[in-house]
Amino acid sequence: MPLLDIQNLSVAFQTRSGVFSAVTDIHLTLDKGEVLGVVGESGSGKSVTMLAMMGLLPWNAQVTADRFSFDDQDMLSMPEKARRRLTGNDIAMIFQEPTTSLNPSFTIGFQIIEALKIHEGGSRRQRRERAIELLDKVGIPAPAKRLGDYPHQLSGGMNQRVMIAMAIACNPRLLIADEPTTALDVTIQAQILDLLLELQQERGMAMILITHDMGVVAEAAERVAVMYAGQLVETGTAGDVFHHPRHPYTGALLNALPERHPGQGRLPTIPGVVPGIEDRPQGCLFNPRCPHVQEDCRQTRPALESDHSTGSSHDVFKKVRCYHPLVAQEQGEVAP
Amino acid sequence: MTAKTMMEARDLVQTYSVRQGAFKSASLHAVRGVSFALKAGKTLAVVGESGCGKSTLARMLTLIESPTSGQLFIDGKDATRPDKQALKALRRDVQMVFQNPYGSLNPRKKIGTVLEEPLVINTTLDKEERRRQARDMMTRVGLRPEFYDRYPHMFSGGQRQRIAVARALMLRPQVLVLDEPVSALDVSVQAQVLNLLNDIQEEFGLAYLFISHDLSVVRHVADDLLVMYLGRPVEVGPREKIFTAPRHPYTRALLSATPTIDPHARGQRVALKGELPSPLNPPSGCVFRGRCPYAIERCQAEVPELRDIDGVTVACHRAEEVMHNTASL
Amino acid sequence: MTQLSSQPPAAASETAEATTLPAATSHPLIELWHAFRENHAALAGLIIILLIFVAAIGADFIAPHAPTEQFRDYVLVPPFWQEGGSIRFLLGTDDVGRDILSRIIYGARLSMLIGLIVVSLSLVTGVLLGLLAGFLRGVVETVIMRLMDIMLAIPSLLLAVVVVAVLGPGLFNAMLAIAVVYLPHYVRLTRGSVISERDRDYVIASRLAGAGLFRLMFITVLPNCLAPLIVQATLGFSNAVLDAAALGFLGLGAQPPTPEWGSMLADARQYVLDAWWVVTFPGLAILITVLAFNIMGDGLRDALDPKLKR
Repeated sequence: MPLLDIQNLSVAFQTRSGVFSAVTDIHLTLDKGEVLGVVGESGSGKSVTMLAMMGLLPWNAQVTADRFSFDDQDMLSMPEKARRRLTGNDIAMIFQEPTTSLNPSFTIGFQIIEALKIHEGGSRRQRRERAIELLDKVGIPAPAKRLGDYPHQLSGGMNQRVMIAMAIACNPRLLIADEPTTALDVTIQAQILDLLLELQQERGMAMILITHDMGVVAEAAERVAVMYAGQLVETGTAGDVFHHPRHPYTGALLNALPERHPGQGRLPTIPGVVPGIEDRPQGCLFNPRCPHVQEDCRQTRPALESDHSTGSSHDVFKKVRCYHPLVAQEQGEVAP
Repeated sequence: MTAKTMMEARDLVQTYSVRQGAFKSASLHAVRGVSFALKAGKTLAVVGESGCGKSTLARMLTLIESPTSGQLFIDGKDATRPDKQALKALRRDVQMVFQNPYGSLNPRKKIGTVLEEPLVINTTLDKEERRRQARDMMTRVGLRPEFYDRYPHMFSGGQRQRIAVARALMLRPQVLVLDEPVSALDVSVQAQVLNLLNDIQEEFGLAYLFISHDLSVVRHVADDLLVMYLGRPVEVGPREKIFTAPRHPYTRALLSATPTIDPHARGQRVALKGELPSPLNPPSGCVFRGRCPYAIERCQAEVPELRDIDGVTVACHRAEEVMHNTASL
Repeated sequence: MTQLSSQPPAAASETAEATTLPAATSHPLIELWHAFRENHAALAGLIIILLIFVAAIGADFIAPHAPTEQFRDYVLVPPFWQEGGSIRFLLGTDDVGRDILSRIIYGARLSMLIGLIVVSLSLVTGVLLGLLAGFLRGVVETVIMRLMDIMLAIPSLLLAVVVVAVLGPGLFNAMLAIAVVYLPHYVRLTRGSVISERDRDYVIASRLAGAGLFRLMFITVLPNCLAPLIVQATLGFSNAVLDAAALGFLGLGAQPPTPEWGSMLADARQYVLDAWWVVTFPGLAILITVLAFNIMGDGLRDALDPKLKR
């Protein structure tokens, strides 16, 4: 039984001018101790999906799913209070901007101790010791001294470490990291990624890493889900997705990376833009930008289906949403 | 044929005095000893993380600030401390594209007005001619001229960056300072903007000073690299020489920390300990030694001078060992 | 230098990204109106203000009587719906037989004029000083801002009374006094916005294009600082009306027999007990005007605040 099981999740927003679906037809399963990378450009719906998981969407959002369970408990029918306890204790989240995720008016010690009070209890002294232990765990030097510091006195990397310390304080079984390293410098990014993976392995935590940076996912995640315009277009192991992409979007996106073309003039690009929430095309969502578009792509929307044709593994997780997936020789040369 | 040197910096230094308390003030060396020569049609990438002095360097090169010492030449003319008249002429030669496409366009001005502003200030062209040039430039950067009357908030990040490029080109500059021009953009949009920059460089023979922290982008666009750490240049040289065999431990660490999707390119990770020291109170000797896996006693005592090793200028006592990857950690 | 090429641009294949824009061009003012329209209370405030302005401008045609005409036979007549009231004097008459409704309508003219002049005076001077302080920094800033701090430290009505005492009572001097009192608010507001805008990238871009100080101040930065100033000016309008009434009440503003709401209240205060209408209607006029301006100001603030936009 998977830790997290999501079948056919959709999120729609009720606005003045009608209902718009931001995310449709999401299927994800995640086992204990697994790392899943969710990749997508802005507007792909990756953050909305994760906020839906945490129950942090605004009031005008409607979440529907055939199945949406964490540890075999149904998250959608669960009473509000139980759900809050679950998302507080078992699911934790860290965000992109560590400096704004912390309250600037309180010391980091106060904020950690306060978080511990809600989830663990214990005497003040015990909580303080636990806070020092947590800060030490996330690699903050001289943790006892740092307790009295305010967020603005620490660097972005240090603040992100504090956020991680708060996130792992109650031993969550699932950590959702939403662009955890995007705001950080390259060398600090490497430190934070290493720290996250180390903690994840040590505690057997499952982790969902949401990012736009495919390099980060390739280095950190075992499995990858690629999102486009509110849908999953391809899932699989990191090796399969990045080296044998099946969906034309994945292929084109990988091909647009500068690291694939050192010192060469023009990069292959994807024509057009990601369709907005209000102007999604009929048929396959990628069809207006797809170099391999055919008639059926314009008519009906393909489903996310299992795919065993390529790749070394016969993982059931290898799925693609395309009528005419790329075959080996085309890969990497999608948009000449 | 040798291209003309469009911008030359000799030992640029920028020092700020920072107030500490009521009476004490300390001097902060934001940039120290930066020298380079940038030729027409070429791209020099300035690489470094936050706090390395990239932004200060950009402000000096775009003549917003005068350097504390050192010399700056633009197209052969002295631009170190120009008077008002000279400044006005020099400004036309150096323009800039900013990192954040949402902050660099005046939200209350139409695109046409934004593009024409440099012409209004610097030329005597009439309204019709200005309008024609602005619309031509919009076509040139891949925007439809019908957008002339629109406001910036109606555009996506990639389109705004195109507008910013168009504005920078209105005065036909020789040098463009590009301050992280694609780091706020999505991968597919980033590729489009990089292509645009590439086309425009070829067409106008522009010299680019490309500031970036993303080494995969730098490797794609740059001819030469200038790696900075805490205000000092640590390694300067041709791109391929540096990427294939970095001579400075910091460059090496940066390279290994850059995430990549290619498992073969993923070498052994050189993990850096700790964070950037305070520029107000830099360590003695080599400023990088506190985080450097190669640091030895000599690094504490002696500031490494920039020296040439096989075509690359580097400031490290153990550069040879780092380069051949033979150093004992 | 290379000439602009007329051949199709190399980036043409990527222009497709530009086609997904909404077709209509909308001016920020139109967007502001759409956002403002959503707030019904603010809309009501705007309508009341428009009505008051219409009444003020068309007073000669709307008012049933001249404001200073005394009907000696009809002293202290109650409003028409009360016993002894008359249709001729809808809201009754005051102690010397003047029609209260007419005086209120003519009073609106004065109040609106006071509001306009006071707000324009303090807004223009305040924005100018604020821009200078924000842009020049250094000594100029210190001098301007300390001066404003001193002005803020004096109770506002007292300051106005002092100014009037120096210049002598009268409507124009009262307006000047009130404008001085509100000056610091505009200076501080402008300087604050200027400082937050001044280092933005688009301002640096203008500097790189060669823009001089004048252009940077008035053309580049000022339009981006207007939102809070518009709100402050709207709220300042109601304050000006209120303060003019207060000065009138103290006998330092408009001099009799000029119909001014504040002095109407002052003149009638000894009849409060036996002729309630003499004080009630001028009071209501002040209340409704001030309320309308405040509600509209709040609505404007919401409509102009980008953070509240969807």
